[in-house]
Amino acid sequence: MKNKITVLSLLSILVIALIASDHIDAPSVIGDSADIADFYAFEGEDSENIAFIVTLQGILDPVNSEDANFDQNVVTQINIDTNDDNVEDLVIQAIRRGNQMWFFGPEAPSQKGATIEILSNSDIQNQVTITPYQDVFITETSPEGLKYFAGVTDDPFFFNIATFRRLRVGNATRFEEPGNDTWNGLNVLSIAVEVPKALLGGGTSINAWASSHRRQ
Amino acid sequence: MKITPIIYTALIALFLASCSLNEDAGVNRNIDEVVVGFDGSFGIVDRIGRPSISTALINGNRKETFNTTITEDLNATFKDEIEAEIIRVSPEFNLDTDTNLLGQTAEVLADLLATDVLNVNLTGTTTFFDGTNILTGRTLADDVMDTELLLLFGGSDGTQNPTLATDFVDSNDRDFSPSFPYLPTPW
Repeated sequence: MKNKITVLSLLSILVIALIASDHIDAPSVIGDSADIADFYAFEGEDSENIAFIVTLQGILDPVNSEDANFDQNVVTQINIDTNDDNVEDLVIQAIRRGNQMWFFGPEAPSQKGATIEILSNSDIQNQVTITPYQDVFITETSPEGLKYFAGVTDDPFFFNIATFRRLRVGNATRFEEPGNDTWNGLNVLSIAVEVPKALLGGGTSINAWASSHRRQ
Repeated sequence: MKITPIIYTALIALFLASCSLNEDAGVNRNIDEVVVGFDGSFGIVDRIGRPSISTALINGNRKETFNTTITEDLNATFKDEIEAEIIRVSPEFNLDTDTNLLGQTAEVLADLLATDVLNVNLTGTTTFFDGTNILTGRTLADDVMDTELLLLFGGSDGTQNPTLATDFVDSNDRDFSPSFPYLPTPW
Protein backbone atom coordinates (compact mmCIF):
# COMPACT_ATOMS: atom_id res chain seq x y z
CA MET A 1 0.00 0.00 0.00
CA LYS A 2 2.81 2.35 0.91
CA ASN A 3 4.52 1.63 -2.40
CA LYS A 4 1.31 2.32 -4.25
CA ILE A 5 0.93 5.69 -2.58
CA THR A 6 4.52 6.55 -3.43
CA VAL A 7 4.07 5.57 -7.07
CA LEU A 8 0.91 7.62 -7.39
CA SER A 9 2.58 10.51 -5.65
CA LEU A 10 5.55 10.45 -7.99
CA LEU A 11 3.19 10.22 -10.92
CA SER A 12 1.30 13.28 -9.75
CA ILE A 13 4.59 15.14 -9.42
CA LEU A 14 5.48 14.10 -12.95
CA VAL A 15 2.20 15.40 -14.31
CA ILE A 16 2.46 18.65 -12.41
CA ALA A 17 6.08 19.08 -13.45
CA LEU A 18 5.11 18.74 -17.08
CA ILE A 19 2.33 21.29 -16.88
CA ALA A 20 3.89 23.69 -14.42
CA SER A 21 7.62 23.47 -14.84
CA ASP A 22 8.07 27.22 -14.70
CA HIS A 23 7.37 27.78 -11.03
CA ILE A 24 10.17 25.26 -10.99
CA ASP A 25 11.49 27.31 -13.79
CA ALA A 26 14.99 26.51 -14.94
CA PRO A 27 15.53 23.41 -17.06
CA SER A 28 18.57 22.36 -15.06
CA VAL A 29 17.02 22.97 -11.64
CA ILE A 30 13.65 21.28 -12.08
CA GLY A 31 13.28 19.11 -9.03
CA ASP A 32 16.55 20.52 -7.74
CA SER A 33 17.09 21.50 -4.13
CA ALA A 34 18.30 24.97 -5.19
CA ASP A 35 15.16 25.80 -7.18
CA ILE A 36 13.53 28.99 -5.90
CA ALA A 37 9.75 29.08 -6.21
CA ASP A 38 8.85 32.56 -4.93
CA PHE A 39 10.06 35.64 -3.09
CA TYR A 40 8.06 38.00 -0.87
CA ALA A 41 9.00 41.26 0.91
CA PHE A 42 6.51 43.19 3.00
CA GLU A 43 6.07 45.27 6.14
CA GLY A 44 5.80 43.06 9.21
CA GLU A 45 3.17 42.94 11.90
CA ASP A 46 5.53 45.36 13.64
CA SER A 47 5.65 48.25 11.15
CA GLU A 48 9.31 48.88 12.05
CA ASN A 49 10.21 45.59 10.33
CA ILE A 50 10.32 44.12 6.83
CA ALA A 51 9.61 40.39 6.39
CA PHE A 52 11.37 38.46 3.63
CA ILE A 53 10.15 35.02 2.57
CA VAL A 54 11.80 32.68 0.07
CA THR A 55 10.13 29.43 -0.99
CA LEU A 56 12.15 26.58 -2.49
CA GLN A 57 11.75 23.14 -4.07
CA GLY A 58 8.18 23.80 -5.19
CA ILE A 59 5.69 21.11 -6.18
CA LEU A 60 6.06 19.31 -2.87
CA ASP A 61 3.38 16.67 -2.44
CA PRO A 62 2.20 16.06 1.16
CA VAL A 63 3.30 12.42 0.84
CA ASN A 64 6.88 13.56 0.25
CA SER A 65 6.86 16.44 2.74
CA GLU A 66 7.99 14.37 5.73
CA ASP A 67 11.34 13.73 4.04
CA ALA A 68 11.76 17.11 2.36
CA ASN A 69 14.67 19.22 3.54
CA PHE A 70 16.94 22.09 2.66
CA ASP A 71 20.23 21.29 0.91
CA GLN A 72 23.29 21.77 3.11
CA ASN A 73 25.32 22.75 0.05
CA VAL A 74 22.98 25.51 -1.12
CA VAL A 75 23.02 29.09 0.16
CA THR A 76 19.74 30.98 -0.12
CA GLN A 77 20.56 34.68 -0.33
CA ILE A 78 18.30 37.71 0.04
CA ASN A 79 19.89 40.57 -1.89
CA ILE A 80 19.25 44.18 -0.88
CA ASP A 81 20.12 47.16 -3.08
CA THR A 82 19.99 50.34 -1.02
CA ASN A 83 20.95 52.91 -3.71
CA ASP A 84 18.88 51.85 -6.73
CA ASP A 85 21.69 50.55 -8.93
CA ASN A 86 20.49 46.91 -8.83
CA VAL A 87 23.70 45.74 -7.18
CA GLU A 88 23.45 44.06 -3.78
CA ASP A 89 24.73 46.34 -0.99
CA LEU A 90 23.55 44.07 1.81
CA VAL A 91 22.78 40.37 1.88
CA ILE A 92 21.10 37.94 4.24
CA GLN A 93 22.26 34.34 3.79
CA ALA A 94 20.62 31.11 4.96
CA ILE A 95 22.09 27.62 4.91
CA ARG A 96 21.18 24.40 6.71
CA ARG A 97 23.50 22.53 9.04
CA GLY A 98 21.86 19.41 10.50
CA ASN A 99 18.47 20.35 11.93
CA GLN A 100 19.40 24.04 12.16
CA MET A 101 19.00 26.84 9.62
CA TRP A 102 21.82 29.36 10.01
CA PHE A 103 21.39 32.99 9.05
CA PHE A 104 24.11 35.60 8.39
CA GLY A 105 23.54 39.33 7.93
CA PRO A 106 22.23 41.74 6.81
CA GLU A 107 25.80 42.66 5.99
CA ALA A 108 27.78 43.90 2.99
CA PRO A 109 28.77 40.87 0.88
CA SER A 110 32.43 39.91 0.58
CA GLN A 111 31.76 38.97 -3.05
CA LYS A 112 29.02 40.44 -5.21
CA GLY A 113 27.45 38.73 -8.19
CA ALA A 114 27.11 35.10 -9.23
CA THR A 115 29.73 33.48 -6.99
CA ILE A 116 29.54 34.13 -3.27
CA GLU A 117 31.04 33.12 0.04
CA ILE A 118 29.23 32.68 3.34
CA LEU A 119 29.59 35.66 5.69
CA SER A 120 30.51 33.47 8.64
CA ASN A 121 32.24 36.40 10.36
CA SER A 122 29.12 38.56 10.21
CA ASP A 123 28.27 40.53 13.35
CA ILE A 124 24.72 39.29 12.98
CA GLN A 125 24.45 35.50 12.87
CA ASN A 126 21.80 33.31 14.40
CA GLN A 127 20.08 30.00 13.91
CA VAL A 128 16.63 28.46 14.20
CA THR A 129 15.63 24.82 14.52
CA ILE A 130 13.97 23.73 11.27
CA THR A 131 10.34 23.00 12.09
CA PRO A 132 9.66 19.26 11.63
CA TYR A 133 6.84 18.57 9.15
CA GLN A 134 3.43 19.49 10.61
CA ASP A 135 4.83 20.52 14.01
CA VAL A 136 3.91 23.90 15.48
CA PHE A 137 6.06 26.50 13.71
CA ILE A 138 9.36 27.13 15.55
CA THR A 139 10.64 30.71 15.43
CA GLU A 140 13.58 32.54 17.01
CA THR A 141 14.14 36.23 17.74
CA SER A 142 17.70 37.53 17.86
CA PRO A 143 19.16 40.20 20.17
CA GLU A 144 19.14 42.55 17.16
CA GLY A 145 15.40 42.07 16.72
CA LEU A 146 15.50 39.73 13.72
CA LYS A 147 13.04 36.83 13.53
CA TYR A 148 13.70 33.50 11.85
CA PHE A 149 11.75 30.49 10.55
CA ALA A 150 12.47 27.53 8.25
CA GLY A 151 10.32 24.52 7.40
CA VAL A 152 7.62 22.95 5.25
CA THR A 153 4.54 25.13 4.72
CA ASP A 154 1.63 25.22 2.35
CA ASP A 155 2.81 26.82 -0.90
CA PRO A 156 1.47 30.39 -0.54
CA PHE A 157 1.51 30.93 -4.32
CA PHE A 158 -1.82 30.77 -6.16
CA PHE A 159 -2.29 30.82 -9.94
CA ASN A 160 -3.88 28.80 -12.71
CA ILE A 161 -0.58 28.24 -14.44
CA ALA A 162 -1.83 25.16 -16.27
CA THR A 163 -4.20 27.27 -18.36
CA PHE A 164 -1.66 30.08 -18.73
CA ARG A 165 0.80 27.69 -20.34
CA ARG A 166 -1.88 26.53 -22.77
CA LEU A 167 -2.66 30.17 -23.56
CA ARG A 168 0.97 30.88 -24.39
CA VAL A 169 1.10 28.16 -27.03
CA GLY A 170 -2.37 28.81 -28.46
CA ASN A 171 -4.12 25.79 -26.93
CA ALA A 172 -6.53 27.90 -24.86
CA THR A 173 -8.24 31.24 -25.43
CA ARG A 174 -9.32 32.21 -21.91
CA PHE A 175 -9.14 31.35 -18.20
CA GLU A 176 -12.04 29.21 -16.99
CA GLU A 177 -14.46 30.15 -14.24
CA PRO A 178 -14.31 29.18 -11.46
CA GLY A 179 -10.55 29.46 -11.30
CA ASN A 180 -8.38 26.41 -10.68
CA ASP A 181 -5.35 27.00 -8.43
CA THR A 182 -2.62 24.71 -9.73
CA TRP A 183 -0.99 24.81 -6.26
CA ASN A 184 -4.05 23.68 -4.34
CA GLY A 185 -3.01 21.08 -1.74
CA LEU A 186 0.73 21.35 -2.36
CA ASN A 187 3.53 22.32 0.01
CA VAL A 188 6.88 24.05 -0.32
CA LEU A 189 10.03 24.59 1.76
CA SER A 190 9.96 28.11 3.23
CA ILE A 191 12.55 30.41 4.79
CA ALA A 192 11.31 33.54 6.56
CA VAL A 193 13.40 36.29 8.13
CA GLU A 194 12.07 39.54 9.54
CA VAL A 195 14.48 42.46 9.80
CA PRO A 196 14.26 45.87 11.49
CA LYS A 197 14.05 48.54 8.77
CA ALA A 198 16.90 50.33 10.53
CA LEU A 199 19.24 47.54 9.36
CA LEU A 200 18.27 47.96 5.68
CA GLY A 201 20.38 50.93 4.65
CA GLY A 202 18.58 53.91 6.10
CA GLY A 203 16.79 55.00 2.92
CA THR A 204 13.10 55.18 2.04
CA SER A 205 13.09 52.14 -0.26
CA ILE A 206 15.16 49.17 -1.37
CA ASN A 207 15.29 46.84 -4.34
CA ALA A 208 15.35 43.20 -3.31
CA TRP A 209 15.68 39.78 -4.93
CA ALA A 210 16.48 36.23 -3.87
CA SER A 211 19.13 33.93 -5.29
CA SER A 212 20.34 30.40 -4.63
CA HIS A 213 23.97 29.35 -4.87
CA ARG A 214 25.40 25.82 -4.83
CA ARG A 215 28.80 24.82 -3.43
CA GLN A 216 31.35 24.62 -6.24
CA MET B 1 -3.43 -4.99 -15.23
CA LYS B 2 0.24 -6.02 -15.26
CA ILE B 3 1.18 -3.36 -17.77
CA THR B 4 0.13 -0.43 -15.64
CA PRO B 5 2.97 -0.64 -13.09
CA ILE B 6 5.46 -0.93 -15.93
CA ILE B 7 4.14 2.27 -17.45
CA TYR B 8 4.33 3.97 -14.07
CA THR B 9 7.87 2.75 -13.64
CA ALA B 10 8.85 3.95 -17.09
CA LEU B 11 7.32 7.35 -16.49
CA ILE B 12 9.00 7.69 -13.14
CA ALA B 13 12.34 6.63 -14.63
CA LEU B 14 11.86 9.21 -17.36
CA PHE B 15 10.99 11.83 -14.77
CA LEU B 16 14.00 11.03 -12.60
CA ALA B 17 16.33 10.92 -15.57
CA SER B 18 15.10 14.17 -17.04
CA CYS B 19 14.99 16.13 -13.85
CA SER B 20 18.43 15.51 -12.39
CA LEU B 21 17.05 14.84 -8.95
CA ASN B 22 19.96 14.75 -6.58
CA GLU B 23 19.99 12.61 -3.48
CA ASP B 24 18.99 15.46 -1.26
CA ALA B 25 15.85 16.20 -3.25
CA GLY B 26 14.76 12.67 -4.01
CA VAL B 27 13.68 9.55 -2.19
CA ASN B 28 16.97 9.22 -0.31
CA ARG B 29 16.59 12.37 1.69
CA ASN B 30 16.55 10.47 4.96
CA ILE B 31 20.22 9.71 4.41
CA ASP B 32 21.73 12.96 5.60
CA GLU B 33 25.39 13.78 5.26
CA VAL B 34 27.15 15.61 8.07
CA VAL B 35 28.37 19.00 6.84
CA VAL B 36 30.31 21.32 9.15
CA GLY B 37 31.70 24.78 8.65
CA PHE B 38 30.84 27.48 6.16
CA ASP B 39 33.88 27.59 3.87
CA GLY B 40 33.89 27.49 0.10
CA SER B 41 32.52 29.25 -2.94
CA PHE B 42 28.92 28.97 -4.06
CA GLY B 43 27.82 29.60 -7.65
CA ILE B 44 24.43 30.96 -8.64
CA VAL B 45 21.76 28.46 -9.65
CA ASP B 46 18.52 30.41 -9.56
CA ARG B 47 17.17 33.90 -8.90
CA ILE B 48 13.84 35.73 -8.58
CA GLY B 49 12.66 39.31 -8.14
CA ARG B 50 9.06 39.83 -9.22
CA PRO B 51 6.80 36.79 -9.42
CA SER B 52 6.83 34.59 -12.49
CA ILE B 53 8.71 36.85 -14.89
CA SER B 54 10.73 33.84 -15.97
CA THR B 55 7.55 31.76 -16.02
CA ALA B 56 5.45 34.12 -18.06
CA LEU B 57 7.75 36.05 -20.34
CA ILE B 58 11.03 34.22 -20.86
CA ASN B 59 11.14 31.48 -23.46
CA GLY B 60 12.28 28.01 -22.49
CA ASN B 61 15.75 28.05 -23.98
CA ARG B 62 16.53 31.38 -22.25
CA LYS B 63 15.26 30.63 -18.72
CA GLU B 64 18.62 29.17 -17.69
CA THR B 65 20.41 32.36 -18.70
CA PHE B 66 17.77 34.54 -17.04
CA ASN B 67 18.15 32.65 -13.76
CA THR B 68 21.93 32.96 -13.65
CA THR B 69 22.43 36.50 -14.98
CA ILE B 70 23.41 39.00 -12.32
CA THR B 71 20.69 41.51 -11.58
CA GLU B 72 22.38 44.65 -12.90
CA ASP B 73 22.79 42.98 -16.33
CA LEU B 74 19.23 41.67 -16.69
CA ASN B 75 17.70 44.77 -18.26
CA ALA B 76 20.20 45.07 -21.11
CA THR B 77 20.16 41.33 -21.72
CA PHE B 78 16.42 40.65 -21.68
CA LYS B 79 14.48 43.86 -22.32
CA ASP B 80 14.07 43.36 -26.07
CA GLU B 81 12.89 39.75 -25.89
CA ILE B 82 10.49 40.54 -23.04
CA GLU B 83 9.02 43.36 -25.15
CA ALA B 84 8.66 40.96 -28.11
CA GLU B 85 6.93 38.40 -25.88
CA ILE B 86 4.52 41.02 -24.46
CA ILE B 87 3.54 42.01 -28.01
CA ARG B 88 3.24 38.36 -29.06
CA VAL B 89 0.95 37.21 -26.24
CA SER B 90 -1.25 40.28 -25.82
CA PRO B 91 -3.65 41.81 -28.36
CA GLU B 92 -3.49 45.10 -26.42
CA PHE B 93 -0.05 46.15 -27.69
CA ASN B 94 -0.55 46.11 -31.45
CA LEU B 95 0.72 49.65 -31.95
CA ASP B 96 3.88 51.17 -30.49
CA THR B 97 1.63 53.76 -28.85
CA ASP B 98 -0.77 51.25 -27.21
CA THR B 99 -0.63 51.45 -23.42
CA ASN B 100 -1.82 49.53 -20.35
CA LEU B 101 -3.62 50.72 -17.21
CA LEU B 102 -0.40 52.38 -15.99
CA GLY B 103 0.05 54.23 -19.29
CA GLN B 104 2.97 51.96 -20.23
CA THR B 105 3.75 50.97 -23.79
CA ALA B 106 5.10 47.46 -24.36
CA GLU B 107 8.60 48.95 -24.38
CA VAL B 108 8.14 50.76 -21.07
CA LEU B 109 6.54 47.71 -19.43
CA ALA B 110 9.39 45.51 -20.72
CA ASP B 111 11.95 47.98 -19.37
CA LEU B 112 10.33 47.76 -15.93
CA LEU B 113 9.97 43.97 -15.86
CA ALA B 114 13.43 43.23 -17.27
CA THR B 115 14.99 44.76 -14.17
CA ASP B 116 13.71 41.83 -12.14
CA VAL B 117 13.71 43.14 -8.57
CA LEU B 118 11.03 43.75 -5.97
CA ASN B 119 10.83 47.45 -5.17
CA VAL B 120 10.13 47.64 -1.43
CA ASN B 121 8.84 50.74 0.32
CA LEU B 122 10.36 51.25 3.79
CA THR B 123 8.07 54.12 4.79
CA GLY B 124 4.54 52.97 4.01
CA THR B 125 2.29 50.38 2.41
CA THR B 126 4.02 47.37 0.91
CA THR B 127 1.99 45.68 -1.84
CA PHE B 128 2.36 44.43 -5.39
CA PHE B 129 -0.86 46.29 -6.23
CA ASP B 130 -3.76 47.19 -3.93
CA GLY B 131 -5.72 49.44 -6.25
CA THR B 132 -3.79 52.51 -5.08
CA ASN B 133 -0.18 51.56 -4.42
CA ILE B 134 1.74 49.69 -7.13
CA LEU B 135 5.00 47.73 -6.86
CA THR B 136 5.90 48.76 -3.31
CA GLY B 137 6.53 45.19 -2.14
CA ARG B 138 4.83 41.80 -2.28
CA THR B 139 2.68 40.36 0.48
CA LEU B 140 1.60 36.73 0.69
CA ALA B 141 -2.02 37.64 -0.09
CA ASP B 142 -1.33 39.89 -3.08
CA ASP B 143 -2.95 38.50 -6.22
CA VAL B 144 0.25 39.14 -8.13
CA MET B 145 -0.62 37.13 -11.20
CA ASP B 146 -3.87 39.05 -11.67
CA THR B 147 -1.83 42.27 -11.49
CA GLU B 148 0.56 41.02 -14.16
CA LEU B 149 -2.30 39.73 -16.32
CA LEU B 150 -4.13 43.06 -15.93
CA LEU B 151 -1.07 44.99 -17.08
CA LEU B 152 -0.61 42.61 -20.01
CA PHE B 153 -4.18 42.08 -21.20
CA GLY B 154 -6.38 44.74 -19.58
CA GLY B 155 -5.74 47.52 -22.09
CA SER B 156 -5.46 51.20 -21.26
CA ASP B 157 -8.62 51.25 -19.15
CA GLY B 158 -8.11 47.84 -17.52
CA THR B 159 -11.37 46.42 -18.84
CA GLN B 160 -10.26 44.65 -22.01
CA ASN B 161 -10.06 40.84 -22.37
CA PRO B 162 -11.88 40.10 -19.10
CA THR B 163 -11.22 36.36 -19.34
CA LEU B 164 -7.48 36.90 -19.87
CA ALA B 165 -6.86 39.76 -17.42
CA THR B 166 -7.64 37.48 -14.45
CA ASP B 167 -7.18 33.76 -13.81
CA PHE B 168 -10.21 33.74 -11.47
CA VAL B 169 -8.01 32.48 -8.60
CA ASP B 170 -8.13 35.27 -6.04
CA SER B 171 -6.69 33.76 -2.87
CA ASN B 172 -4.57 30.98 -1.44
CA ASP B 173 -5.90 27.53 -0.56
CA ARG B 174 -4.93 28.03 3.12
CA ASP B 175 -5.12 31.10 5.38
CA PHE B 176 -2.12 33.25 6.21
CA SER B 177 -1.23 34.22 9.78
CA PRO B 178 -1.16 37.87 10.93
CA SER B 179 2.03 37.10 12.89
CA PHE B 180 5.52 35.90 11.99
CA PRO B 181 6.20 33.75 9.99
CA TYR B 182 2.84 34.58 8.36
CA LEU B 183 2.97 31.37 6.30
CA PRO B 184 0.13 28.85 6.00
CA THR B 185 0.40 25.47 7.69
CA PRO B 186 1.31 22.56 5.41
CA TRP B 187 -1.04 19.96 3.94
